[in-house]
Amino acid sequence: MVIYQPAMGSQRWRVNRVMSSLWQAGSPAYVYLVPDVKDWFIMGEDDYTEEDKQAVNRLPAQISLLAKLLEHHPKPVSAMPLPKDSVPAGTIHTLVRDNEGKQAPELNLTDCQGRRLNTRSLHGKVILLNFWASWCPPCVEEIPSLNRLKAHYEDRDLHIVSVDYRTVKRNRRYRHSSRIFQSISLY
Amino acid sequence: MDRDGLTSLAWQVFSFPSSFIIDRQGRIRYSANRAINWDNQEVVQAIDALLAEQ
Repeated sequence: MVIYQPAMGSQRWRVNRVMSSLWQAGSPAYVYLVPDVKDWFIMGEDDYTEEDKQAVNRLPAQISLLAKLLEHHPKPVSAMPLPKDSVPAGTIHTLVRDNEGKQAPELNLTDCQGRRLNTRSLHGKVILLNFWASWCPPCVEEIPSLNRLKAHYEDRDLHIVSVDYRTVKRNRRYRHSSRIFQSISLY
Repeated sequence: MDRDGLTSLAWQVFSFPSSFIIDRQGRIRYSANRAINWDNQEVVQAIDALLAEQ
């Protein structure tokens, strides 16, 4: 197996653990860290960065090189059967209740205009924290309902914070985002 | 913005969108690991209950 992992991606910090599990289980595995790009760099839509473009251009040649690398390893004749009870069953709820009541990690973010947000300053309020990305269609899809929720709780102790997962400051996109997010705090 | 991905890591965000609702005491009480309709009854009831807590 080869894991093709953007060096600036959210999963990058999990790679070491995954790789050591794979190797300990006897599976030959490699990781290729794609420099200077984040997750989904291939989905850059209309505002690819120069690094995104270069990484996308390198992709086809790299895939065939990595495939050649894997050819040297023996492959299993057939896949292992899945254990029968491995698929959890249950009702799907809109929200998943967290009964552990873990303390939320502290958030320290800066928006495009340099305003800082630290969640400590919101202590005592109910916070809805939404991680989204402009290249993620379902994320964009749910924004109007977030705006309606915000309007429903106007002047109440609910603070909605949207965290944009992106690489670089893009003012044009930010202005667009500000418009679609209306008065929701955007970081 | 989460430029280095470390905020997403701290919150164990592995898919987008991912959302969390945090109570007045700073505890994570609900999460959603997919896009949902945020102004539906279930969400409003959950938030009302959290707002009623001290």
